Amino acid sequence: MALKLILWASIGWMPILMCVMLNNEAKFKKNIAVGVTLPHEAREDNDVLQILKNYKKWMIIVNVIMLVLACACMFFNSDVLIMTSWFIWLDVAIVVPYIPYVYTNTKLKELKALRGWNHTAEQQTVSVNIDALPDNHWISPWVFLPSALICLVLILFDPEMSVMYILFAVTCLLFWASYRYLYRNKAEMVDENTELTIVLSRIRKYNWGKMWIITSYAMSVYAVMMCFFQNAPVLSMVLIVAVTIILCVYAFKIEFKTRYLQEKLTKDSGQEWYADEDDHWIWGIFYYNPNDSRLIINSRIGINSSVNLAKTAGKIIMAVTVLLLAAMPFMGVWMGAIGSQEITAVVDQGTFTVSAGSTVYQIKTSDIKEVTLLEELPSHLSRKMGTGMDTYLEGKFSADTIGNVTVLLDPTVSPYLLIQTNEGKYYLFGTRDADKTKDAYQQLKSTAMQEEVLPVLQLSHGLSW
Amino acid sequence: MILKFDFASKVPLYMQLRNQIVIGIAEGKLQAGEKLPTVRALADESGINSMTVSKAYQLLKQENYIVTDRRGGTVVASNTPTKVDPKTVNMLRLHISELRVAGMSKEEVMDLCEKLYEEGI
Repeated sequence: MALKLILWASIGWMPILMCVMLNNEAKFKKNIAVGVTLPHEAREDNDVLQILKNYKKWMIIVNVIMLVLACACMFFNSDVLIMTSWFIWLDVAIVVPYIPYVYTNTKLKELKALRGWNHTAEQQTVSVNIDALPDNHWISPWVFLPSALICLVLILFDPEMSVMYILFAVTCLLFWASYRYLYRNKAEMVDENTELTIVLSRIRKYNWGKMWIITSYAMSVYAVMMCFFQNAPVLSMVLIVAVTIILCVYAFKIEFKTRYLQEKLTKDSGQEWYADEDDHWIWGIFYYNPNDSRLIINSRIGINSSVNLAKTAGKIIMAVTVLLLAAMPFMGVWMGAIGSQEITAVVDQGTFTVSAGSTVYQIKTSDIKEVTLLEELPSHLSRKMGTGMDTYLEGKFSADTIGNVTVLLDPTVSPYLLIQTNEGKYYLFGTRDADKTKDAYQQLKSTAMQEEVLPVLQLSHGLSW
Repeated sequence: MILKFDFASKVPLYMQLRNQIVIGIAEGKLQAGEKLPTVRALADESGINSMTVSKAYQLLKQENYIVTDRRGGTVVASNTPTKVDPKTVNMLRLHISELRVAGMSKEEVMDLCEKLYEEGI
C-alpha cells in the first residue's frame, strides 16, 4: 500500500499538470499558439478559435482518461505489477496528450497556408535585432557555492556518508553548469520592437537563473535532512516530500509567470512584421535547423530548453530520451528481478562473502569481532543510501542502538546475521533461506573456534558468540 | 537595426552581412562610432558560424566601413570610404543595364535611383 501511495503522490498528478501546461499553449504568446506563429488577425479568426476550442476540449478528455487509468493502477497487488503498470502509464500519460497537440498544430499550419499567413519568402530567413542582443552577464558560480559547501560541511557530522555528501555538493555545482550552458543566450525577438525584445530576453534569463539557484539550494536542504533526520524515517520522508512539493510549486510558478508575461507583453504584437520560425519546429515541438550551429535551443514559450535535431549530438540526446521512455515499462520487471534475486552467504578461505547479483560484500573472518544471529531486524532500520524493497534491502542503513549498518538481506526471511568488525563497523546480512543463514552462522562460528579469536556472547534477542 | 540572413539565397552569408551593414550605414541606422555586436554574440544570436561573421567583419574593415580597437570593440568607422570602388561602378552599370533591358526609360531609372537614395537618408 505504501508503494502505491508513494507512486500516486509522485506521479499521479501528471495528467493535471499536462492538461494545465498544454492548455496554456492555446493562449497566444509571442504570436504563437500550439506551436504555430500566426498574425494578430488570427486571434479573431473564427476557424482558428474553433480549432483551439476543440484542442482544449480534447486535452481535458485525454487527461481525464489518464487520471482514470492511474486509478486502475491502484488495483494491482504485487510490487512488480504495480511498478510495471505505473511506468507504462507514465509513458502513456506523457506521450498521448501530445496527439491532440500535434493534430492541432497540423490543422493550424494548414489554415495558415490557406489564409496566406505564411512568410513564404522568409521561411529560410533568420532575423537578428542587433540593438537587442542580450548581455553576456551570468550569475557567478559563487552564488551556487554556499549550497555545495553546506553539503560538504555535513561530512563532519556524518563521515560514514561522505561520498553521498560529496555527490550532493557536486550536483549543486552541476546546477550552475546547467544554468550556464543549457541556455542559449538569444534575444527573444517577436517583432521589430527593440524594447520588447530586450524585456522578454531579460525576463527569460532572470527566471532561468532563479530556477537553478533554487534547485541548487533545495539539494543542500535534502542533504541536511538526510544528515539530521536519518533516524526518524517518517519525519524525513515528510520533510523530503514537503521540500519537493515546494520546489515543484515554485518551478511551475516561475514557468507560468514567464508565460503570463510573454502573453501580456505581446498581446498587441503580430500586426505588422513578426518573427516566424515555424519551419524549424517539427509539429511545434522538435527543433530542426541545419543552418543553426548551436545544439541547445530555447523553447519558444516559457523558460525551457530544447536541442537542435539537425546536430548529431541532438539526435543522440533525443534517441537516448526515447530509449529511456521506452525502457521505463521494463523498470518494474527489472526491479522485480532484483527483489527476487538469490542472496548467498559463504565462508571460504578465511573470507565471509555475501552476494546478490553484482553486489558483493566480503569480510575477512579475522576482522570479525562479534556475530549475532537475530530473529528480528533491529528497530527503526532506515535506508540512507541503496535499495529498499519489500523483499530486498541493500546498501547503507541506520538503526537504533547500532547506528550505521551495511545491509544485504531479504527482510521477510529471518534469521539475520549481525556482524561487528574490529573497526566497529556493523553489517547485517540474511539469505532467502533461513537454513542457509543458520549454516553461514555455524560456519563463522566454527571458523572462530579454529582461530580462537572471537568472543562468545549471549544476547537476549538472539544467539551470538 | 534588424539583420536578415537568407539561408536559401545564392549570396554567401558573409556577403549578406556585409551588404546589410553597408546599407545600415547609408540609411543612417548605424551611426559613426556605433558599436557593433561581437563576432561571438552575432554568431550565437543568428546561429551562423563565427568564422562567417568574422569574414564579413574583416571585409568591412578592409573596406574602411568599420574599425576595431581592443577597448571599444568593433565600431562603425567615422571616416567611411570617400572613394568609390571601381567594382561598385561596374555593378551599378550592370544593374542599370538590367533595368534598361527590362524596358525602363532613363527617367524611370533616375526616379527609382532618386527614390532609393532618399530612403537611405
